[in-house]
Amino acid sequence: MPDKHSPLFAKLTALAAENPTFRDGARVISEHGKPPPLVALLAEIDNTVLERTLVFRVDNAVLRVAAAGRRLRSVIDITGAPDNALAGQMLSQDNPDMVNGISAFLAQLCKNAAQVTVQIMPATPIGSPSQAGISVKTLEAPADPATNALPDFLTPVADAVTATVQIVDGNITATSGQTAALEQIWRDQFDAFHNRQKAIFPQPDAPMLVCLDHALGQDKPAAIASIGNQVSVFAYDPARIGDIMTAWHSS
Amino acid sequence: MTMPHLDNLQDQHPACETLAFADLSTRMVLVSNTTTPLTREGLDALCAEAAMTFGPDDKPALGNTPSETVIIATAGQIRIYLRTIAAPQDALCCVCAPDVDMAAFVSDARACLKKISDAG
Repeated sequence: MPDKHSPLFAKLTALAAENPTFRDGARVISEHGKPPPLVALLAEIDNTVLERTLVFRVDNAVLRVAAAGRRLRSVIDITGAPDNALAGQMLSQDNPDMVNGISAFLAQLCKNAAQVTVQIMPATPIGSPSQAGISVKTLEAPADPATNALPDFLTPVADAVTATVQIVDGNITATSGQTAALEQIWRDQFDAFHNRQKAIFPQPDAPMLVCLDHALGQDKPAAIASIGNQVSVFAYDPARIGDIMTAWHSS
Repeated sequence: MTMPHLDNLQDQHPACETLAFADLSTRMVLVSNTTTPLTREGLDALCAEAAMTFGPDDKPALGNTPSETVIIATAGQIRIYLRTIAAPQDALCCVCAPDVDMAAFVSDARACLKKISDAG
């Protein structure tokens, strides 16, 4: 008698119960949120032991990834969605920024997706086998709290953000990266700025994003996003200001 | 000679509706583009926000180093303020739609500010 609580039994039972649907030759793994798109996508990676290229179609976006050993080794390329700086790089579990960046990217890509399909293709040679990639478990729960420190609008450009302080109802609730100078802005300058700004343009509680190009030093910008009872003070890559503005107005 | 520079910049970037050259030391808008829909009060508010956000040179309003570019985005509008550390009293105040090409606009606006400052 097999152990009914073993992972193998659960997997065999799930496989036996499957009645897959195909669209354009690709297997539908999530439809109308069932199962949740991100869960379905990560499950496919978790099911990939031998080196393979997985081609996910998430609504109109196509994401090709290299997976092996139940790990995401690389995002090979992305079409039909904003590009991500991590595309084409070998992914490493030892790099928190990378883990957070790719987790946030996948979460944003799958958010509200109506349909996700997958095609499993032969492996595309990429990197060396010693570059093990990121496990699904890590992608589900990033090691660094940076993602939690990000307001929703920054999720698509998480890789452009180098440090964040997240404040809710006046209390710092999460931080990531080097935050001493950012915390100083919040603690010593924000209230005075906010009150003066409201006196000039009285729009109580209207969402606002303020970016200053040298706030933390020459070519070291910082920004403050104020959305309802939440304030985020963050440092960012100056070359990505256009992407940050696009993300702000898309949210 | 300032207004043509502003009008040329707006021609290059139709997503920008208002351009105003201001003296931050007196908090006064000196000239704006021809077709700005803003009233004098609206232009004065832009200048006040620019002066307040940049802050005094020795005491930035936000951060620890004086900035040369400030971008303030709300739900449907972007206000962009530019100045140079060499002439910190001269500022260009801009109001743009969200679809403005930010990198190209800031680059062109900075060149425009330099032409105006140099001419003055």
